[in-house]
Amino acid sequence: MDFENVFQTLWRQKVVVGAVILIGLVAFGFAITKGRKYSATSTILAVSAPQSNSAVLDPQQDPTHSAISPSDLPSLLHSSVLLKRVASDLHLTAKETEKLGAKIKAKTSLASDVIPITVTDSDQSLTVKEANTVSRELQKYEQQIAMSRYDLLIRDLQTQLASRRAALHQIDGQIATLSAADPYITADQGTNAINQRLVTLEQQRETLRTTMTGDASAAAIAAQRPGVARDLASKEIVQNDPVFQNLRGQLGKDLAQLNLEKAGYTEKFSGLAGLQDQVSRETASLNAATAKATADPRKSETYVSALLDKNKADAAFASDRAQLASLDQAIAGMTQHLASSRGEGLSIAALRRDREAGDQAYAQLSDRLAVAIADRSQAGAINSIVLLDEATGAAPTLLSRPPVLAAALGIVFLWLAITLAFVADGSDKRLRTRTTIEELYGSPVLTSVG
Amino acid sequence: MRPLEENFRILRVRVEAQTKFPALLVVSSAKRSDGVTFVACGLARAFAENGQRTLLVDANTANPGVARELALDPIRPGRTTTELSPQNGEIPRLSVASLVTPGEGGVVGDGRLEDLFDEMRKTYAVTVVDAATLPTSSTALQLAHAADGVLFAVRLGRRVEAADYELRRIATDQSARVIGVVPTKAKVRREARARAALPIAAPSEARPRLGTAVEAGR
Repeated sequence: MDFENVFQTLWRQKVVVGAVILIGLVAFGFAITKGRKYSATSTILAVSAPQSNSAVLDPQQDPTHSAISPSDLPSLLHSSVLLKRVASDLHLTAKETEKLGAKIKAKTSLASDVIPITVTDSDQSLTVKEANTVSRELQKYEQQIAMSRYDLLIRDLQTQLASRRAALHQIDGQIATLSAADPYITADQGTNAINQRLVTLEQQRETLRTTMTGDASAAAIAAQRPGVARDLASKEIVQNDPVFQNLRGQLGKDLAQLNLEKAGYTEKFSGLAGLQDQVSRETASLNAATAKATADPRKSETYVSALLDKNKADAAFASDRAQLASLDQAIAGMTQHLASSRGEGLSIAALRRDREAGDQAYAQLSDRLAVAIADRSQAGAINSIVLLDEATGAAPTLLSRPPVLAAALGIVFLWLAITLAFVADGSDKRLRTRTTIEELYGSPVLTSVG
Repeated sequence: MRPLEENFRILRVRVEAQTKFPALLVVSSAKRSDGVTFVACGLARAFAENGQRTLLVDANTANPGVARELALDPIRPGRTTTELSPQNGEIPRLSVASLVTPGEGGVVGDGRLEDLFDEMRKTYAVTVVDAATLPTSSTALQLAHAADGVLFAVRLGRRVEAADYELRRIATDQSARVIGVVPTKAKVRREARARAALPIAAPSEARPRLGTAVEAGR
C-alpha cells in the first residue's frame, strides 16, 4: 500500500477522520478550559517482608515487617476504608470521595521499598492535602492491619484456651465423680494403692499371727500358774490365818509336852494317854482348820495374781484372734475390690492421662497467647510504613500543559482517526475503488464518468 | 477534476480501441440505479460529436429514460420495425429511437432483433443501446448476446450485491463481449442532467427512416 492509496482511503473515510479530529479538538478545548489537573507526591518507605514470605498476614512473620507487600499497596490505597478516612479528614463530599480513588496512584517497584504516592486533582491546595493525608492514613491503616493479624490469632487462642479449660473441668468432674464412688482408685496409681494396702494388711496379719502365737504360749503358761500357785497359796493362807496359827501353836506345845512326857514316863503312865488324845484332837482340829482355810485359794494374793495373769493372757489371745479375723476380712474385701475395680482404674487412668495432656496443651496455648500478645504490642509500636517526604506543592500535570496536551491529543487522535478510517474502509462493502470493481466484474474499468 | 464531457471522450476512445465499426454497443448494469442511461447517452453524444453517425436506442424496458436524460419529448416507439422511426435530437449526427412499448414492458419487434441490429449497423456507424439490467431482462440478454460490445455501468458508492456476481456469470453464459466497466457518480449525474437540459443545436441532416431500411433488408 503506497501513500496514494493511504490518502485515497483517508479521503474516502473523510467523514470518520473529520469526526475524530473534531472530537479531538473538543477534547483539547475541554482539557484546556476545565480539565486542568495538578499532582502532588508524598513518599513513603514500606519495610516489606522478604520475598520468600508470601503470607504477609502470617502472624509468624517478623512483626517489624510491613503487614502489606508493596505490590498490594495500590489496592490498599483504593480501599474504601482508607478513602473514607481521608475523606473524613479533609471533609470531602460523598461525590468527591467517590472520585478520590481514581486520583490516587502509587508507583511500586520490586527493587525499592520507597514508594511515591501521587494524587491528581483540579484544586492545587487540596491536592497537596490529599497526598499527605493519604500517606498518613495509610500508615495508620497498615498499623491497624499489622495488629489485626495478631488480634485474629489472639482471639483464636483465647477460644482454644476456653475450650481446653472446659475440657479440663469436665475431666475433673468425671474424676471427682469416680473419687466419690471409690476413694482408692482416685488416689495416684489407684490399683497400686490397693495392692499396697493389701500387702500392708497381710504384713499386719503375719505380725499378728506371730504375736498371737506368743500370746497363745503365754496364755498356756498363765493357765498352769494357778495350779502351781495353789500349794503356795494354801501355805500362804494358813500362815496368815490366826486360828490356824493358834491351833498350830497349841498343837506344838501339846506335842512338845507329849514328847516330854514320853521321855519322862513309860507307856504305862496314865496321864500320857490323855495327853496323847488331846494332841490327836488338836491335830484333827488343825487339819480341819487348814482344810477350811485353804478351801478358797483366792484368799491368796499369789493365787489371785496368777489367776489374773492367766485371764490377761487369755484376753490377749482372744484379742489377737479377733484382730486376725478382722484382718482376714479386710484382706478379702480389698482383694475383691481390686478385682472389681480394675475397669474403673483403667478409666480413671485414661482420664488422668487426658488431663495431663490437656494440661500440657493448655500450657502451650498459654505460651503462644503470651507470644502473640507480645508480638501484637511490638507490631503496634513499630511503624512498618514510614512517611519519608510530605508533599509541599502541587504542579500541573504534564498533560495539563497546553503544548504537551495538544501534541499528545494530536498524536492520539490522529492515530485514532487513521485507524478508524482504515477499519471503516476495510469493513466497507461498497464499490469505491477501481480495483474492487475490476475484481468484481472481471473486466477493466475504462473510465469513470462524473 | 476532468469535465464530464472529457470523461465521455476518454470513454469513447477506449471503446473505439476495442471495437470495429459499424458497431452495436449495449450498455447494461447489475442494478437499476447504476446509471446505464447516463452512460449510454453520454457515450452516444461523444460519438456523435466526434463526427460518427450515431443512433441511441432506448431499450431499457424497466426504466426507459433516454428522452428524460436528453431533455427531449417522449420518444414514440414503433409498434413494428417499420414504425420504429428514429427521432433526430438536437445534436448533429445523433438520432434517438425507442424500442420500449409503454405500459407493456416489452420491446417492439421481439423475435426480430437480429434483423433490426443488422439494419442499424448498415445505417449507423455506432448504435448505442440503453438496456435494462441483465439479470432481470430477457431483452437485455438478447441484446448483450447480439452486441458487438457490452459496457457495464456501476454506481460508485453502492454496496456490493448478489446481482453484481450474477451479472458477471450471465455475461459469460451469454457469450457477451464485455469491453469494460464504467463507474458513475450519482451526484454528477444530476449536474449532467442540468447541462443536458440546455438547448442544443438543430439537426443538420434529415433523419433516416430506420423502418424503411429494415423493410428493405427483408
